[in-house]
Amino acid sequence: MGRYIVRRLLQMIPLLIGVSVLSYAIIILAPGDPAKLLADPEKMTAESYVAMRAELGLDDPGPVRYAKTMSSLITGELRSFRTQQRVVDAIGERLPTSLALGALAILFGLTLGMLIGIVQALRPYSRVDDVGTMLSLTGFSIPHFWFALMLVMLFSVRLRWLPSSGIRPIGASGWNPLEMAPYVVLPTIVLGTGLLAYVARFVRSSMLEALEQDYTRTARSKGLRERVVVVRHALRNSLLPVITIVGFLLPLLIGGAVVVEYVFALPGMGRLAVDAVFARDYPVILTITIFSAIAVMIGNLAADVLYGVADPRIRYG
Amino acid sequence: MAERVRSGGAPVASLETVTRRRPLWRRLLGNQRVVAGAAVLLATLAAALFAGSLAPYDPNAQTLADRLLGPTAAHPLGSDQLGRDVLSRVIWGTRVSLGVGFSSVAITIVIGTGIGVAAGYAGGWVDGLLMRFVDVFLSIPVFMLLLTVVAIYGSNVNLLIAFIGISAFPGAARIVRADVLSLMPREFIAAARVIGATPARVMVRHLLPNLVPIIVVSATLRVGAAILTEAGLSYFGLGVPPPAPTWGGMVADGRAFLDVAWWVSTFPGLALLVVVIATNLVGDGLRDVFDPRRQHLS
Repeated sequence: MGRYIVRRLLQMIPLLIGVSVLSYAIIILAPGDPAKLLADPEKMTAESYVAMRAELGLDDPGPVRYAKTMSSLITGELRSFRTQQRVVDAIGERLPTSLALGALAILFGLTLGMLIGIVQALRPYSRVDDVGTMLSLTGFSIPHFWFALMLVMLFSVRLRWLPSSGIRPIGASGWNPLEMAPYVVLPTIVLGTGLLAYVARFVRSSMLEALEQDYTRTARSKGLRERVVVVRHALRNSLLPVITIVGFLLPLLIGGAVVVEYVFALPGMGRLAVDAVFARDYPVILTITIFSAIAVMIGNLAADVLYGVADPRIRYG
Repeated sequence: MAERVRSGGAPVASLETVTRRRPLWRRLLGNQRVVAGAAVLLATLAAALFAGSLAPYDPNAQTLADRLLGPTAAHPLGSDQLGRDVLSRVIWGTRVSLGVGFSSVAITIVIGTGIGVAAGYAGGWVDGLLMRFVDVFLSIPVFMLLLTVVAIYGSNVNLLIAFIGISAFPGAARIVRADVLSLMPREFIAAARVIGATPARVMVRHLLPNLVPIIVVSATLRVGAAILTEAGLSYFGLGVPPPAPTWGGMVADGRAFLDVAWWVSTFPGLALLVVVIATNLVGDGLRDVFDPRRQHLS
């Protein structure tokens, strides 16, 4: 297992180089001149323009710029065009918010999704099953941004139960769960719903499959109570694969976080990414892209490893 | 729990006898999901084609005296902050949604099928190289990449279609490749090669026809995602530029008026939801029709 993990980690290196070259190419081929975007037009002179270009390293050939950018990214010295803040620091400030939101969304989607899927599988082709199917269909068809606005309209504007934006009360700082709880309810629901839909669907079909297996029949014919058959035998076996889909749904979650953090004005990485895109802050865009790619790859690896831990029949070659 | 549990849309026992012998169109018409979804899609398509005669107003005509009017007989879905008729804009909005949705998926499928077939047929290092390329794309969160690309390179409709289409190719390539790999050891492929068919002929005449079901299902399921992507970009102001009516853009217009004019954001989003549900229904139904046993091929 240790060997397997090391090999998978090594395989990430060429992939990451691919990701960085691709994102760098997209950015470097862009029309428009970052030096002009950044400089104060009133104070800009020919000399300061040349100095600005040199400072940003815009005059070097592409591969040189790529190498310089990547080495400063790795050493943590890469700075935002816009704020001159080190990108690592900017990400460090925003990361906890995004991680907390992501964890809550996974928790929400996983629990509710499994619950719905199980209930559906226990009564296949019934009214309850149909409702569940419709629910999950709606869940992955609903646009995040619209769902968020509708929830805000209902719970913030009409009922005034929950705040519509931000992560903590104005003036507050730190991580006080009680203060923050009302702020994270709606974002968690919006971000977790897509996941919920996939999980419900997945659990339903894998549970149906488990209920047809020989070991389930054996358990029944031993005279075990239905409850024990369902929970201990069918459920346990059918929940295994759920681990893997959470790993593979990580890109969906990251994409969703971009929208959710934007709509609810949450100070996370997604919001940072959107701000960077609008400001053409290339170092920030580049770093966040590579960072997300690493997260996705680690997610996939973790899913594979956990699957092996949970199911001893899996061998890693 | 005594009754036999069925795993797909059709009862297991009748798979061979019923499903195989009925002609395709009967099986399609016999599938509730396909029929329901297709009905909604056809209605939407009609709205897009005949938007000019269906819409009661010019979608971009501003009547400032009629700003933010609630739903009435004159404006069934109300009017927006510039006094434009929401119903007319929702109707015209079908053009961008369906146009971008279907065209970009066509691009996805062409690229995805090309790469998938090439990789699966060639195998070896070609396969390895192509699949690593696919992996690179798969590990980048697509929506963020699209935001960047569209923000940098602008957003006329054709570029938008190309970007959205290209961004989704890795998934399609993987699915097609997997199917090609399962077909390659089959006898008819060996037979074709033995009688001297060129690789191009094997791919086009022998592999491709067998890939049609999987391509159709995955394409259908992708249309909804593409429509959502376009709407998301429009919501960020990066889609088809205003004043063209787009559903995502209309939802964004209503953001500032959630307290006084709920209808501005609500109706275009609802239209979006209904159309995406319809495409997913058709996709799910097609999957059942083509292969009741295979799940999760999205």
